[in-house]
Amino acid sequence: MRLHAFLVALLLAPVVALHAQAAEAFPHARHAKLFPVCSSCHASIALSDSARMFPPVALCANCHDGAIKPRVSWTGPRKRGAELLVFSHLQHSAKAVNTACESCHALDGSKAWMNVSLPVQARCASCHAHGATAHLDEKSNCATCHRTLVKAVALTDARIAAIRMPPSHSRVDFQGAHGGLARANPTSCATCHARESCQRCHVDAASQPLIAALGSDARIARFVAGKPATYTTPSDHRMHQFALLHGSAARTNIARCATCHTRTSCESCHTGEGAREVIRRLPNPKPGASPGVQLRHTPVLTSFDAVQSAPVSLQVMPELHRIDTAAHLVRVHPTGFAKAHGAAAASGVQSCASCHSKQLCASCHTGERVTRRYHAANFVATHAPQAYSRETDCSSCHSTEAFCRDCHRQTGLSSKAAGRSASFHNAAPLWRFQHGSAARQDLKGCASCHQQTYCMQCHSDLGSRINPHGPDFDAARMSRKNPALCLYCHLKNPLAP
Amino acid sequence: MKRLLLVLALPASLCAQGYRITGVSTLQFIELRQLVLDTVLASSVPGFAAWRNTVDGVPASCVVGAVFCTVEGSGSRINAAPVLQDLTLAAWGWSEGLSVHANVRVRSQIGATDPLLFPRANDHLDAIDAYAELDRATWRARLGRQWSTGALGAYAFDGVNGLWRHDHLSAEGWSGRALLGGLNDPYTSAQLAAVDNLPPQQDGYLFGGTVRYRPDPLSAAAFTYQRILTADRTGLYAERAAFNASTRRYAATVDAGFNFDVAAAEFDEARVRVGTNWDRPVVFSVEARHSRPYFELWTIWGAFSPVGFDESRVSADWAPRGAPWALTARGAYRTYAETNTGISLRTNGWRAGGDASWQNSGRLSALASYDVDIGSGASSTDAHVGGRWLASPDLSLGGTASVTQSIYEFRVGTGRIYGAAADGSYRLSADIRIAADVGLYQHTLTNGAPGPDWTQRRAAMRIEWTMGRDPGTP
Repeated sequence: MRLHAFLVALLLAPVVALHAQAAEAFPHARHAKLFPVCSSCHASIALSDSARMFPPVALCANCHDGAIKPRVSWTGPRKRGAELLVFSHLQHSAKAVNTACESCHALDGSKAWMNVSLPVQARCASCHAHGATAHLDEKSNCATCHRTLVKAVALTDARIAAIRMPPSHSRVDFQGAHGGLARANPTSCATCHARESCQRCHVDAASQPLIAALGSDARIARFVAGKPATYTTPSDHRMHQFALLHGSAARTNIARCATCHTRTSCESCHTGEGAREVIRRLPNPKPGASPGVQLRHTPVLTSFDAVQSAPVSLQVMPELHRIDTAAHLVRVHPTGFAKAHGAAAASGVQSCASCHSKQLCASCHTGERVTRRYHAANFVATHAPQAYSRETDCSSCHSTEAFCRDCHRQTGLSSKAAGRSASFHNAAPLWRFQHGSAARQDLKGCASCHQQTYCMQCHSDLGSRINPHGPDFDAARMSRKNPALCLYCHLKNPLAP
Repeated sequence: MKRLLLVLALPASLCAQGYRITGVSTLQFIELRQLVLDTVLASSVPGFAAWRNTVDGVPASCVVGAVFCTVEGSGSRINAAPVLQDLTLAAWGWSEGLSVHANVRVRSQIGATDPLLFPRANDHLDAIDAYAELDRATWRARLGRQWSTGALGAYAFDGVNGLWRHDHLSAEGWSGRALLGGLNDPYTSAQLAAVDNLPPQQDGYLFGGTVRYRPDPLSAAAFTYQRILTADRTGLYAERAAFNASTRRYAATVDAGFNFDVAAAEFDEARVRVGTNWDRPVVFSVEARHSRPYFELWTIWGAFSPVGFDESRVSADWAPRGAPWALTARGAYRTYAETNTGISLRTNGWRAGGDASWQNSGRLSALASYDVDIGSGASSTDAHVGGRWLASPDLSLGGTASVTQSIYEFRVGTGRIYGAAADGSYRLSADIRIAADVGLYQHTLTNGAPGPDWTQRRAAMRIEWTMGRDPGTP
């Protein structure tokens, strides 16, 4: 008889288990003297006969009639729909070696009659461990005992919010690894998650079969509403060559990018013509959906940017020292790249057009500052040494004549006439005899003030006929390239017989 | 030609599926004192030579027997206020890969009667580029005014450009009427004639091509050849070739390349740079470089046998992982080739400098730098310190302070300039951004240097706006 009583209690347990959080459980111990067997109240529980799992209300009323005992308000088990737990007493009683009710329901191993409670999860895990050491262990197979959350319609918002997060989910590397875990055991994820759980971060959730299979759930939608997406920067994104390598990685596996990035992510840098074929395979941001990782450029102190180049790197810097954030600052080029970009642009090791339009080149190479400050604010006052040392080639952006010479004339540094009367080159009274060395070392400096005819006053047939050519001057070669050039200074072709 | 390009580009955009117009309006205010000629009584200038100094140390040019000597000094304060308006148009949607692009610049100057005319302020309309593009998977073609940017620099031209790409290889060719570098006008432009009394007499026609090979994402090499013919095809204005290669493999960054002036049979630029490319806090690089001034053949300068210099550069960057700061040190030493003039001025030069940067969470950043540049022609020492605050994604504020000392070898005299500048930008909406900067500089001339007084105020304001949408967005 006692066996039957325990069986009844056992059968009752799963049904009562979660309900007990909301309603006071039946005080079995206080009724121990009344019921010698579990089946007195829980008849047919072993057969999973739901109609007879609980005692009829009239049975309680035999005592709780208001005269013998106070009346109770219990009106019988409520029909609440499917719970998260799936349990069949019928199956367990058929397979169990020990089918005594107390084998699962005895409270803390108590031998006292009807000192029972719901079975703890460890009791389930004692058979259904699957290698797990605890109920929420990573190796647990949730689907063994649980139905999917979407199907567990009996769960209220509050009960969903109270579901404990498995310890594995708090691991630092979990976010990066959870995709593989989900693919390996999708039913485990579905125990606690619905499609909306994933949509909070995954911008491609709609096109992911694994996520779509979770099903939609309004309770989860309410639960995640307003919670920001969080992203852990993958380790390969922190590689110092990621700027160079990410394009190949994207072409190879754009689906991986689409997990966190919309087109907007890429277009925060890729505003040029390149990479369009790849980028357009990413989803567009949609209202109500996750916007994905938000990238923006780091502010740089361009007004006195360093000169030297450094290895190209893309630094992804978490904002405000947070590891997980949707907003990331990106610096693609190293400090000083503006002045050292020539090698990368010329060789093509970086595809400028992927991110930049021609207008970017023109904003500097047309010689006028429009949107970018290439030089320091006081550059005009300091530009002479940099021009002499050709740290960067002035003429790659500025016309020596129309910009440098024009400005030097406007500011009085060079005469608007052919010569000047005062002593600009006052460093050396004998400058006229010394200027040849300076001119050969930096002829662009001369041309930034002097017109050709100024020099031709001495260096031409019409002038003093002072030969300006160096010993290695190949007159024949230059004449072949542009014969008219010789006649600027020579009255007739000096190479003609 | 400018107007023709605009006339073709603008109506075409009206029937486009989509368009995007970006405008940048820039207004600057620049104040300075010109270097002007003045006279002093010859009797007030000690000595009797034709070249002597005033009692204040200012060099004076005196003619024996003349009552006055001439000196140079700073004139009265004048200013310029150039205005630039850039308009950039992109329109697309007539056919797959077909688009039209134009970038127009309008220049003017407020206060046109002012004696200081900002360079090119009187060149009121300029089509920076204006071209139609047809882009397909393996090829791309452009027609119109456009830019060729690469190892040889940036060349603008009116013509055609074709690009073919296949796997790791691409080839590009271009041809058309050449425009002057940095001027964006034809060789026979009045803009050039206004500042050079021996301008080119004929237009130039540009032909060029590049072959680029990129075996993997970390390596690439490119060869470029380009020539500019005179319109009558009797000569060349330029003939140049370039080769560049880069790789980032084996924990090293190697960049090597040269620009060769075929007409003069000289290397204009040749450099090899090797740097560490590892995931460590300290990064080093060394570079060997040869540089020689390059001149096109419409000037006589190339016939004056300019010489180049050889330079060695080193740099080290230290950025500890996770630390908000980074340090950089750099140095360079150069020696000039023999000039064969019989007279030797300074034949070497060196640079050294370093900077320290600090960036906290991307919102606050600061940078300090110090550089010394000693060489032939001019020398300077320069120190900067500055910071930037990104108050919000829309608001950025920055400021710098600087001290500069200049030493001019070819003009005796030193000067110190103390400066302070501030700048800020604010995004009013998704499509409108405004930016401004101001600077104050105090110039102290020493040794009676006859340079212009650079004590000045500078200011600039810029408004950037966008109309239309990005391709692919609703």
